[in-house]
Amino acid sequence: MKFVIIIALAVICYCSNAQGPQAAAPVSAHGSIAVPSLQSLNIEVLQSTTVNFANASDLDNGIAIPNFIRASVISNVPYVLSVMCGSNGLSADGGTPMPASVIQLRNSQGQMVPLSASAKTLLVSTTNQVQSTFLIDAFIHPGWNFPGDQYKAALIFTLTPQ
Amino acid sequence: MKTAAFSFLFTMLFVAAAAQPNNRLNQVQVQILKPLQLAYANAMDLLNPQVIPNALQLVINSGQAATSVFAQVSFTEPVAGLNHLLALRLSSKTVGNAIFNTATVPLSQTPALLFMQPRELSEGVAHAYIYDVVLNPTTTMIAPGQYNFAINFTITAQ
Repeated sequence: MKFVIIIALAVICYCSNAQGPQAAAPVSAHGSIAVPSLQSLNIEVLQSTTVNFANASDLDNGIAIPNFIRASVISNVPYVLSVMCGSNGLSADGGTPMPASVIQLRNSQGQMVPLSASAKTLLVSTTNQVQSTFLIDAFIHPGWNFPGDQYKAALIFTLTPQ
Repeated sequence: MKTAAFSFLFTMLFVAAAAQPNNRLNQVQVQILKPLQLAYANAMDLLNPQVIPNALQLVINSGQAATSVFAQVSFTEPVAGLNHLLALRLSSKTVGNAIFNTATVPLSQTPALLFMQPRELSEGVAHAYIYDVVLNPTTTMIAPGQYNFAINFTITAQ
């Protein structure tokens, strides 16, 4: 009886060890990636920064400037692009200021947004793309309410993570 | 009878020992040569690759069977945008005659073939390959956070 048990154990040991090729256990290398909230905004004025109202028709109808500004955004989180007019409007060499609302920019919904001293939303990110470029139209219409002069404005764009 | 039984038992055990695969051969070892710490410091980093040169060394002791080495990556907290973010790029090799899949292998949760090591006429020949770790540019947003990962290497013998 003992003889039979020993033989059985030997056969079991042989069968369990007669294995085919196998994949060895994996080995690993560990690391990490740090991802903060990152944004970058680049504003380019694609047309002339001097807008001349040369005739009465310009004052009657205003001047539309397609693709006036290009906004290039890099962001790893959703964002909002807004704009405001510095110094509460357009300053004049002669002293009579012009309100910021004479300048309008087109938002992502296609609507013209009059500028002011407070930030106005131009666009909200709608995709998960890290890099995006936006072309923004402008429309300037001071009308007949202001004397002839050189009027200057500073537009301030802000990119805010959501 | 007892003597015959014990003799048979020892014979079978020796035969079984010979039939076992040698654990020293056909195994891949990885050595971390530089810390695998990656970070985006600014927005432009999102658009450009970052490289830890000569980051890992893989060593294989070849046996008399051809072997294939695979790599995959797993993140402890997988989020959108991490797939194929990491890659391994062959930097150099000391003694090695492997057949490489491509020079740069993007990593995902699916094992990707790094190279195939031909069989050796004699066992125990060591082959060493040094890899860069590449953090690829990303086109999709990645939520802020610290993402820990493991690059897992497996080897199969044919």
